[in-house]
Amino acid sequence: MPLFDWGGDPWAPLKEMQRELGRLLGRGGGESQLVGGGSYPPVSIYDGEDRMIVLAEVPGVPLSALDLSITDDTLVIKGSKPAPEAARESYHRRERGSGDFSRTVVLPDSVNAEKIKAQLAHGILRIELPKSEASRPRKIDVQSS
Amino acid sequence: MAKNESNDVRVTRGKTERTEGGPSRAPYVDIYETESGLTLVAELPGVSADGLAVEVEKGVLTISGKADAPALEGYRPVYEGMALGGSFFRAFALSDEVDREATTASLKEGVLTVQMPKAPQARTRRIDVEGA
Repeated sequence: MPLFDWGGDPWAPLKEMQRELGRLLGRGGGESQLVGGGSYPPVSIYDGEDRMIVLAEVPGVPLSALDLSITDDTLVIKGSKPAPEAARESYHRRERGSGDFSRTVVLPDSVNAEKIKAQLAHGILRIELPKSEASRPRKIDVQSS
Repeated sequence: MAKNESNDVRVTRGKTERTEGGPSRAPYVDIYETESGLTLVAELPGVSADGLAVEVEKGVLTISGKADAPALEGYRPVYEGMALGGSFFRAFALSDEVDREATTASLKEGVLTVQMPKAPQARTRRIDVEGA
């Protein structure tokens, strides 16, 4: 009897392991989710020429329950996910979390705090952070003599 | 013979890539019972109504679709903790007590709510027997 049943795809056990790890890290899956602790909400950070973009997954969180603050290059996303109104005993399945959360994101550059734009659509928070003058690459004209 | 086997593997892998482009997510759900029926709440961040399919077939409720990919042209990923624009799929077996015809679904703030009213008890329980 073989030690491993490869089942045709030699990478299948590795893919399975990757999926299980992804689930533990909160990238989807059937396990319950921790809110208030761990790393919630999931975020992605993108760097552009003159601005950075931070995306956060906050399904079910209304705009009024979100609070953003920035200090130099550190963004803090705070909020509260409303608890469902149903009584606890009537649940057949409960995987969604609820409660207060806070996540700190250290950005690759410092930010011009005056010009930050944030919008919420379909449960995704998109924050556009223009870089401060000091951290922006400066073009230097070379004069020919 | 060994050559054929490797070809088979390649074909299978090609199919997998074409249909999904990565593993599909299983959205987090709550299912709770109310007096009038069952309610399912699923977290679908980044999903618009166009990218979502809710189907009831042969007693199985299926939620599937694809999240919209955000506009990020000209940006370089620094850290990616979210699965962006990915497909998702999840299925649940329904009991006969659910009125499938009267099931409704709504999407708000990236959260799908499916209301499944209980089937009227009278339909299955009460049988009038007429005397001759």
